[in-house]
Amino acid sequence: MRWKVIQRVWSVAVTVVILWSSYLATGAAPSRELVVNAYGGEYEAIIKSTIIEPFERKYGVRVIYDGTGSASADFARIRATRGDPGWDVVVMTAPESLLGCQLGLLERLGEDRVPNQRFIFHEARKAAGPCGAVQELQYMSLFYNTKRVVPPPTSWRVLWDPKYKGRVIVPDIGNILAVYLLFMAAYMNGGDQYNLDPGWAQIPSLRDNALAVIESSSDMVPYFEREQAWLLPYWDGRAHYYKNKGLPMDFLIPKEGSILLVNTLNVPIGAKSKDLAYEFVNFWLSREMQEKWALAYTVGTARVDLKLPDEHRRRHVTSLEQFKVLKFPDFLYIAQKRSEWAERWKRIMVR
Amino acid sequence: MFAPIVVVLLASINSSQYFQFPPSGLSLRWYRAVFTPEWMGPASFSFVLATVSAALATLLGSLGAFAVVRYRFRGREALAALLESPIGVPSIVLGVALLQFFSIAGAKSLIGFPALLLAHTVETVPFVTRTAYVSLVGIDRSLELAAMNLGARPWQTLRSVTLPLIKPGLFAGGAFAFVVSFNNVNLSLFLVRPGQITLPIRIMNFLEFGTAPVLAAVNILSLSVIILVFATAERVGGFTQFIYGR
Amino acid sequence: MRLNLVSAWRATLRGKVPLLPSHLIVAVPPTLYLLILFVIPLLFLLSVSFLRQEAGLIVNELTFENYRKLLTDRFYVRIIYRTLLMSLFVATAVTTLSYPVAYFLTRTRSRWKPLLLGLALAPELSGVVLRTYGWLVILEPDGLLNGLLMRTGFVKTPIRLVHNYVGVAIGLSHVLLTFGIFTVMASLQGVDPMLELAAQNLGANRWRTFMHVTLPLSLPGVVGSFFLTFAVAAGAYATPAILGGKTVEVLSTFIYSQLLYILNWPLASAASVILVLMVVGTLLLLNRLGGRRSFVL
Repeated sequence: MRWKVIQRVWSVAVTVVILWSSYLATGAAPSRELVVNAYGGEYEAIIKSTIIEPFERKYGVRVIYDGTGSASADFARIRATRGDPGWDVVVMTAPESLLGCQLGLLERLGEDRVPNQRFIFHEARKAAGPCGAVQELQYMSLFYNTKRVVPPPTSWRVLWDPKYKGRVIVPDIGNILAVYLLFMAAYMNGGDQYNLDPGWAQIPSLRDNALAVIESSSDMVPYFEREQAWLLPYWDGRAHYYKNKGLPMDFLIPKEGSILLVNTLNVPIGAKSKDLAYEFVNFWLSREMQEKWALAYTVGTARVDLKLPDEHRRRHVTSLEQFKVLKFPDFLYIAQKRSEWAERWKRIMVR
Repeated sequence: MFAPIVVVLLASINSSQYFQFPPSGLSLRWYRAVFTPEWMGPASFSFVLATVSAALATLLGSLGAFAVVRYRFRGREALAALLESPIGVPSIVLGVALLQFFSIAGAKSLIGFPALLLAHTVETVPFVTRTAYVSLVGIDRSLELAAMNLGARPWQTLRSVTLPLIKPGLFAGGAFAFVVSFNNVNLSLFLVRPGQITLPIRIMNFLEFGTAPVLAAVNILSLSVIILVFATAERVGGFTQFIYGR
Repeated sequence: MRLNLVSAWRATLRGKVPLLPSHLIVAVPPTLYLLILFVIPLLFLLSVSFLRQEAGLIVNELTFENYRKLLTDRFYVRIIYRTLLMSLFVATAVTTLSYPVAYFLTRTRSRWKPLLLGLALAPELSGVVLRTYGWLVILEPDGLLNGLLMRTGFVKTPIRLVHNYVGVAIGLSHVLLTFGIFTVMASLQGVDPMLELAAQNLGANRWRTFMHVTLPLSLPGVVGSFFLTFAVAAGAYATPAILGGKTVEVLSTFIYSQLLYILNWPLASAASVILVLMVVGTLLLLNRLGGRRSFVL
């Protein structure tokens, strides 16, 4: 008899525990939290120590960090959820920032909400659109293994060179690097961003020369770390980071030039903690944080008044003049054509 | 057959930063890395999800099996087919259907734990139904008759005679449902939301950023969880009886 | 039997008759649950597949365009074809490989049986993602397999086993092997060893016993196992995504990218319907060939 009672009490207790844990698991969140979606992999540690933790300390809040998803994946989620993806702040790029703003899925980030916007280059602000804040600038560089590619390459055509067959990483269309590579292929063969057919003609042979076609920049890392891949297009910031880590690699801009990447901070309209989100964006754009960030993540910046070492300025875009030298694509055009290009790309890539 | 597992296991005690075989040194640092919120979060989320959905599936599955075995009514065949059918539909299709259904029916806020719970239960009901069915069919009805002859009311007979007899089958189905839910990927792909991610999806996202031995440690730990669950199911429900057969 | 609502209600109040027939109490919850959360969403999916996508929004216009696209454009037809072929291959490989193992596990009387069973089950517990990751490491150009092959001189340059359909087939076969073993075991367990003994008593040797008694009796279960493996392989996402990379596309990876990246939900739905039809069609075909039901229940 007693055993039955015990059993009953036990099952009730277990049920309660299960229900309680499921309630907790649904993320019944305490207040004053900010959900940020940004870089994953190794960069997660950098952003956490440089930006996130100081922000948490200064404002006494908790930041929930999500490192998953490329800019296009994040944007797709924002669209699928009609502006309520679950994040308060998300790092994307200019094309997503512009299109998202046009579709009414992102909040405007003017000087009223983000005072530090007034320190950002006018051109950069225009590129990001009214709903974006530019926290860094990068460009597509040619990243190569200094031991294996001797002498250093001078042209983008080296990616097609049969000498390096199976040693090249080709970014997949989901990564904007692929778009930029397509643009460069067009430029080099008599076309331009509005006439891409000369570029498309080069893609099949690029695929054949590739070791792998990879979407996420972070996913490319093991291949060059283990020296399986010797050549790839890569962002200057990340390339510099790995060079600093001691890898036998270096990055440069080939003679045909390169294309600028405008990274943006955006706040979806469905964000739960909007005021905190604007504070966060403003914080990241502050002089102190921009200087720290530029050096920690080894990237260029869009803020005019920073104190940075000359060596850094030489390799990354930190001034208006440099900004103008590199090609500046039509970001809205990129956003609008993206899915059409994705389908065309798939048809070539899938065997 | 065990090669991939062995490989992963060796990686978990490797001291080097990224994956190397044969291992270059020994270290437990990857196990320390696992006991952080970024892994324990999804791990406990998956655990709770699997437990609750297995419980719910056991409830629904056993009810369904009971109805099919013990009663004769119009639509009995249809019910039997319905209970089996989630197996025939690829889970990815079910995930797509549910995502669209919740979004368009205005129940977007359910995406996350609630949607996952509902979806996993649908997916695992057939497993429990099967094991419950086999158990029920194998019961000696005369035992129940004997109990009722001795004065037990139907509800009492159910509780004291039938249920204990089918316990192994229920626990087998429940344990299986737990594993299916815990390790599930396809169904969960579309129904997770930031902050409410299952362990397998978290692992897959992590893999996007290259490989790291910490995953191997995660593997060992999730294996231990499952073995623990099986051991508990065996202790409480004795489900290996079920597997061995009469 | 006509239902007289009034008298039934009166009888209930008097406590003579339960409000609901007991079989309904039992049958209703699971039925309702599956109807609302399984049948209806699938019907929904079917209806969305007949709509169109335009500039990011779904247009309420019935159209066959999605199906036309998927079934006539060579690019998509190839994806469907590849999915079908790969799943058939995997199902065959798994069923063939698991039969001997299942036979041994069922018939063995060794003391180690529980341990062996546990070992056979163990890989399944690791989850598909991690096992696939293990294969990635083994099959890579710099991986274990190639390393072994090159060291022993079988090949001069590494064979490409990842980021192509071969690697996916290998990985998927392994992932589903445990599943196949246990399903075949279930049917083998149903074959009464007495029958085998009887055949041997009548003079049949072991081979004949197997061919004429054991195999035919276990065949329905084997066919069932083949079908289940096929169904899971056709719908698999993680293994093709991880081992196949961006140059491999099967229906499930296609559906995934359409749903989450390209955001063309109608097209994704149509592809999902085609996937279901592929699976169901195979089931019907197998049933036809088998002549009896290959499913338990």
